[in-house]
Amino acid sequence: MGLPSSHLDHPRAGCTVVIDHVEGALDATTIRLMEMGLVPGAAVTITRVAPLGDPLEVAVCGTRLCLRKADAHRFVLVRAA
Amino acid sequence: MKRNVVLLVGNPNSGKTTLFNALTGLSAKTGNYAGITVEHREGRATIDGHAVDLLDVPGTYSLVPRSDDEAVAVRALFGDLPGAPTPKLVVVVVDVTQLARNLYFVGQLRELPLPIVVALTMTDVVESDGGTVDIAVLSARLGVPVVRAPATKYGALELKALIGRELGLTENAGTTSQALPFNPIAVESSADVDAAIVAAGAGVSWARGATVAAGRLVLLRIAHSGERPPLPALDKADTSALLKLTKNQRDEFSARLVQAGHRRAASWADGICRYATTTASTTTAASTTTAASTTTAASTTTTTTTASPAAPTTAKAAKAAKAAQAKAVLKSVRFTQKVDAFALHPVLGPLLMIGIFLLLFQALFSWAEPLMSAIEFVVGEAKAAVATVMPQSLPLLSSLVTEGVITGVGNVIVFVPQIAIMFLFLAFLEDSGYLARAAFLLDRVMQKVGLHGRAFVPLLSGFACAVPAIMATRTIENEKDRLVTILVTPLISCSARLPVYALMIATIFSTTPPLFGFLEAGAVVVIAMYSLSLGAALGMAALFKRTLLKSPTPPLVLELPAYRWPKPAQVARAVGSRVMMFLRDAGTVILAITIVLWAVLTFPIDHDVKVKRDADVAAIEATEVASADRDEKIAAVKNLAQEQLVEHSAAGRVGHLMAPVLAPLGFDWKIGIGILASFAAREVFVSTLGIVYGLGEVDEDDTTSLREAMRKDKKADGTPLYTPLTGLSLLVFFVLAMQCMSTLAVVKRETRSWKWPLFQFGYMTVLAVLASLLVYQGGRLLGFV
Repeated sequence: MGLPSSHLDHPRAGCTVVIDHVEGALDATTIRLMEMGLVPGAAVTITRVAPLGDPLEVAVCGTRLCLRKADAHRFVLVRAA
Repeated sequence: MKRNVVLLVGNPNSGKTTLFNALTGLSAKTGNYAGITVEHREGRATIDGHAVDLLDVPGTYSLVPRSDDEAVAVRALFGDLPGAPTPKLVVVVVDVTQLARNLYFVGQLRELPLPIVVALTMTDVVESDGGTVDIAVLSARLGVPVVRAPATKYGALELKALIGRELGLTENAGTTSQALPFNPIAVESSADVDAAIVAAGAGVSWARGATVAAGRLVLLRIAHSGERPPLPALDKADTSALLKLTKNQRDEFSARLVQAGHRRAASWADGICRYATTTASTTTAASTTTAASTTTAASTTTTTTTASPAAPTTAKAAKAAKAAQAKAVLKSVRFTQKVDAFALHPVLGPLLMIGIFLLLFQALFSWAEPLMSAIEFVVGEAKAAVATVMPQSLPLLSSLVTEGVITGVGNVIVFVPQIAIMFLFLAFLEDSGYLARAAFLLDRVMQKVGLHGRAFVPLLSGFACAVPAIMATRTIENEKDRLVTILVTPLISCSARLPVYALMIATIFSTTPPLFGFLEAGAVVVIAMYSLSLGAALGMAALFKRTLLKSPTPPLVLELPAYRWPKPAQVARAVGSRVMMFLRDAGTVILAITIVLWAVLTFPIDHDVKVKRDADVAAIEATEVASADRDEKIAAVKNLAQEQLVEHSAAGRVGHLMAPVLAPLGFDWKIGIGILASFAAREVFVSTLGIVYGLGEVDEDDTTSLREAMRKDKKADGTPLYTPLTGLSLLVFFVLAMQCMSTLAVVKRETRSWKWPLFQFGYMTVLAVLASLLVYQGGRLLGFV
C-alpha cells in the first residue's frame, strides 16, 4: 500500500488506480457501486469525464460504469504501481 | 395439471430479452401484475410436447434491489409477486464477456435454495473472434448446469433441452447438480454479527436452509432502506438483533460481504473465457483477481472452488499480463471504443446527440404529419359515407355513430403514427446502447432539475405530443422520478396547441406593430408561450421533487454496454406491443370520453330550433332556384341553427354558467364552450368557436371568417372582446391547462390508477386559472384593456 492516496474523483482520465477502502457510512449508491465491482482491491481505470465535467466513466471488472464525482469521492485509492 | 414455470433473470444488458424472444417466439405478451407498474413479459415454449411458461422480468445486478424494476425481478424469484406463479426453475442469463461481474449475481443466487441453471450469452461473439469458453469447468466450479445460449439462429436449442431435462419433461431426465451442497461464502466477522445475521435469516420464509445467506441479504438491504419500496420477502425478517449492532459494524460487514462476493466471482471466472491472443491469466477478470489477492490476505476461502487466483509474483509479470490483456480485447469492444471516441467526445459527442434528438423531434413533428392527415381524411370519408347510409329518420343515431363513435375511433388511431415513431426511435436508442450514452452526456443538466438523465427524451418529445412522450417515460426506472416526469410533460407546449396560437395571433396580434421595429409581435408571442411552457414544466418538476414526490436526485449508476445492432424483429415487436397497448387501454378511454363529449354538446335538444331550421331550409328551397347563392343561404341557416343547438346543449349551459367565473380571466361563455369542447383535443377549440359563432365547422387552416367574427365580437359594454390582453390570457390558459383527454387516458394507463391523471388535471387547471387571472387582472391594473 503505497502513498500518496487520493480519491476516485481526483485522478485524471487515462490512469489506472486501485481502490483501498470506502470512506464514511455506506449508502445505497455506494453499496450498488460496490456490487458493480468498485470494491477494495479492484483496479479501476478512469476512462473519461463527461463534457460538462461530471459524471465520470470508469472501467472496472471488464465493465464500463458511469458515476458522479460526488459518489466517486467515497472511494479512497492507492495508486497502482 | 401444474404449470411448468421458468423464470429468466440476469444482469441488465446480458441479452436476456433476446434469449427470451428466441425461446418463446411470437407468443410473448407484455403485462403488469396487480398494482405494479413495472412490466414483465410472459411467453410459452413447447419442449418435447410439453408447454413451458417463461417469465421475463427486468434485469438486476444484485438480489438487493435498488429500483422498482429490480424489486420486481427479485420478488418474482421468490414467488413473492401477487398473481405470479412461483418458478420451478430459474435460468440465470450470464454475459460471458462480463463474466466476473455477472457471476457476482450468480453467487448470491447460488447461496439460496433455488433451482438454477446458467445460460451463457455472447459466446458466439467470443468464439467468432477466435476465443474459447470453457463451459465444463465453469459448470463444475458453480455446481450447476451451464449451457451456451448465443444469439444465433439455433442458439437457444441447448438451453431448451436443458430446461426440459431439469423439469423432468424429457425421457433421459438425469441427475441435476442442484443436489450439490453449497455454503455461503466465508466472511470474517465477530460472533455477535454472525448471530444477528442468522437470527434475521431465520425469519425469511423462502430461505429455508439458507438462513445465513438470507440474513446477509437483509443486512445489505438495511443499507438500502429508507428510499425504496420494501421487498416483502425480506421484510418478514426479524431485524431486531441486526439493528442492535452499530452502524459501523453493519457497514463493515456489508462492505466485506460484497468484496468477498466479487473475489469469489473473479475466481470462478478465472480462465473460463480465453480470447485469441491471451494467456491463461488474462481474462476480463484478471485485473480484479490479481488486485484482490494482493490486498487481501488469507481471509478468503470459497467453498466450491479450489482454483485460487494466481497472483503474479513480480511487478514484471503483472506488467506482462497487463500488456497481453490490453491486446486481448474483443472485436466488439474495440468497435464500441471507436464509436465512443466520437459519441462521447467533448465537442462532437454533444453535437451528435443534438443531431439524433433533432431527428427524433423532426420525425414526431413532421414525418408523422402525412400519416395523421391520411387518417383524418379516411375518418372524414368514413363519416360522410356512414352518414349517407344511416336512415334519415334517425338523425340522432346517425350523429352518434358519426360524431361520437367514428370521431372517437379517429381520435384514437390518429396517435398511432407518433407512438410508432417514438418507440421505433426508443427501441433503436435503447437496444443499440446509445440511450445510456445520452444519459451520461446529459446527467449534469438534468441533475440540476433533480430529474434523471433519461427524463430528457420524454420532455423533448412533449413538444410534439404528450401522448407518446408519456409512454416514453417507461425508460426511467425510478417510480417517483417517472411520476414527476409524467406529471409535468403535458405542460410542454405540444403541436396541438399551435392551431390555437395561430388563431389568436392572427386574430389579435397581426396588426400589432413589430417590437423594436423588427420583431413580429406574433413571433414574440410564440416564443413567450414556449418559454412559459418550458419554465412551467421544469419549475413544477423541481417543486414536485421537493414536496409531493420528495426523493433525492436520482443516483447515477450507469453501465455503458457495448454497442449492438438492434434486431429488426425485436424493434418491430417493441413498437407493435406499445401501439397495441395504447389502442387497447388508452383507446377505450378516449373513445368513451369522445362519446360523452358528443352527448354533452348534443343534449338536451332544442326541437323548436330544429323545426324552424327545417322550415326555413324548405322555404328557401321552394322559393329560389338552385344556385350558389341559395346554397350559401341554406348553409347560413344551418350554421345559425347549429350555434343555437350548441348553446342549448349541456355544454352551452355550462359555458353560460361558467361565464361569471371566466369573466375575471377575460373570457366569455363562447370561450367557455370552446374550452370544454377542446378537452377532446386542443385544436378542437378552433372548430368549436366556429360553431358558436354560427360559421359551421371551421377549417383549422383557413380561419379568415372566424377571425373576422371574433374581431367584431363585443363585450356587454360595447368594447371589443378580443383585446391583446384577453388573447394573452387565453394563450396562457392553453399553455398551462390540461385540455387533453388522450393525455389523461395515457397517464391512467401508465400509472395504473385514476389518482394521478385526476391530480394532474386538478393542478394544471388551477395553475392555468391562476396564471390567466394574473395576466388579465395584472394587465388591467397596469392600464391595458
